[in-house]
Amino acid sequence: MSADYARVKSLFFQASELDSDAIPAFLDAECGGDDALRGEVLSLLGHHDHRDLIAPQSATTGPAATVHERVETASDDLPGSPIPDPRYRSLDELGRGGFGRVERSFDTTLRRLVARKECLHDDAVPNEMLLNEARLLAYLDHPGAVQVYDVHAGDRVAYTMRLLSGESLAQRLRRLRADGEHLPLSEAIRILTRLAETLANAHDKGVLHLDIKPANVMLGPHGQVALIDWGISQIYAPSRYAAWLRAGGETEHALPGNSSVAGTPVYMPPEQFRGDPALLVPRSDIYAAGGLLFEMLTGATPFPRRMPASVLALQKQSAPAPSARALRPDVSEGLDALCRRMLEPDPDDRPASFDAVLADLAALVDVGANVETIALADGEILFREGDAGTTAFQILEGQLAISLDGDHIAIREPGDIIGELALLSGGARSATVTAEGRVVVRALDWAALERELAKLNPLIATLLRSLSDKLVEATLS
Amino acid sequence: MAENPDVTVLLARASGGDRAAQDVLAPLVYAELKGRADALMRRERDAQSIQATVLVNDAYMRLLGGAAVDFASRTHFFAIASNVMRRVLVEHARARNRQKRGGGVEKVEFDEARMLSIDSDDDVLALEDALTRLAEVDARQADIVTMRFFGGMSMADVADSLGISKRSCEREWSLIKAWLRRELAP
Repeated sequence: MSADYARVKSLFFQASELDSDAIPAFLDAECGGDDALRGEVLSLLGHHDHRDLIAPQSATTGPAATVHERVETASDDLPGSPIPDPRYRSLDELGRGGFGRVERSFDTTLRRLVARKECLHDDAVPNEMLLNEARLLAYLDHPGAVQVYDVHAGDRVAYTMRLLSGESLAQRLRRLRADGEHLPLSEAIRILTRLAETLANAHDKGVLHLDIKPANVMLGPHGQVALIDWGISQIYAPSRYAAWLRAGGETEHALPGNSSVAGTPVYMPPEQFRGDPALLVPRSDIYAAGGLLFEMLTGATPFPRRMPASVLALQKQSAPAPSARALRPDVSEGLDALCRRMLEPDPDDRPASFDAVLADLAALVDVGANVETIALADGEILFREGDAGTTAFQILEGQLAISLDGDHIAIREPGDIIGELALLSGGARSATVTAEGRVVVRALDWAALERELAKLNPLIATLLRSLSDKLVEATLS
Repeated sequence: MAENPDVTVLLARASGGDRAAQDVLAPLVYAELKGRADALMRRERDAQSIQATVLVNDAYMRLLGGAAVDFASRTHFFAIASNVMRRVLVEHARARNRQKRGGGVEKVEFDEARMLSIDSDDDVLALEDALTRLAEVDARQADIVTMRFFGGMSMADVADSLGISKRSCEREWSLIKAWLRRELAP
């Protein structure tokens, strides 16, 4: 055994016996200034079985370490006997965690397939955790998260949830990688939009997911996108949950919550490596979603996967966010910039919320969304022959009359563009343009055009720039 | 009555530390497991997984029948068979990966319960890769994984085979799982 690993092992065993609150101080004392050692142990603890159990604990829960020790021993050899519930016909096992099992079941009352998760232990603590997990999912109550149907809250807790079919985003990306292909850009934007909606809802309710990664995104056969595995999520704004309970007439405000930090290093924001739950904010999820966007666009993670957690943390803190466009040229500048902003090392530099991300995404898709519009009254003149101008206009509503030396020569209709040569030359207007009735136009100067080009397919953008260069050259010569 | 009395004897000698017996035994187990795995995979071309632990148990029954075998020998057999099974599965996964690239739709994954599964060829190869790296830092931990995953051995049997207490074996296992979860994280 390597000496380094022996040290990691010893610290891991000691730390896993501790209450999670005590772990950071313990590691500080044991590791001294050895950040690599500290990071490695923390990273492994983050993947320890208690991950399965980190699901919301109530304040009354005893030390976490005792719980997972017990569960660990119990779950290894004994499958545990199922809870007989005549309503659900168990079909097959979908998975098994530290303290529970998930089965595909048939609900004989409503006659539908469900996923049913049941606790395999009699101890109060794992049962309470499972109940809290169900309560958190019920609180989220969003089609983009896992939907809880029903809970059996007896001695052995069990709950049913929507059965997810399809494949995970991780599987989809793996398949594409194997074929040497990329996810279509529109699909990447669509998936990110769905996730951002789900997370905007969760954040609004004060819940952070903290483990956003392709393996936790389920893609249904008809375009459904669901974010699963809220097992390590945290309530960062307990007052909102308390308000929710009060609104329902609950007097007791015991909160699910936890004090340790887990996660998947390659997707985690730099602040999540610090192990202090107080540092985690909605922008922590935005970072992970930025990594996910990067991977959807390029097929690769922004930082190398196989790297010790401590090195990864350091890189993420200091290295500039990578550019997806550098790896895949058909990513537009706008999308690339959004992705890089989501991956900013400092949370304050990232988009403020998923609502802001959604607005950015909408602006990337809605052509002309941020371009100034001008309303003209009947007979108002937009510009006169001989005026200097650098702005082109697109008609959104109404008609414009074009005249030369007082002679009416043409009518322009909604959708038409006028004055476009001014964009290139900045020279004098060659005609006078007057509103016929009420008219609304969109003003497009070179800066606005550049902003639009950044959103669009880079192929069209490049073509347009090249054409305009040629045109200017031709006009000058 | 054992179907193959030689194996019983070889096993007893091998578990007693006889290298020569071990060298004879390993190819026997390999031939048995490989033959069965090949047959199974031919029959169920689409099956992503072959039940490694079932095959190992099966091989035990076929090679040793109902022979009275002492506990140490039995454990030793499973320890050898786990290693062989690992090799067989990796060879199969490599061979099939060479044949098919893309195409195959992966089976529905339900990640909610965070199981470590070795259901697909990719998983087998990723696990093999991780195990090779684990063996570099801690060979015993890699052995534990092999015995648990590929031989389906119980914690008690693994502990016994390594001559450590079940309790410390469980502790090792908890770290191994954390390590593998991290390394295999998609």
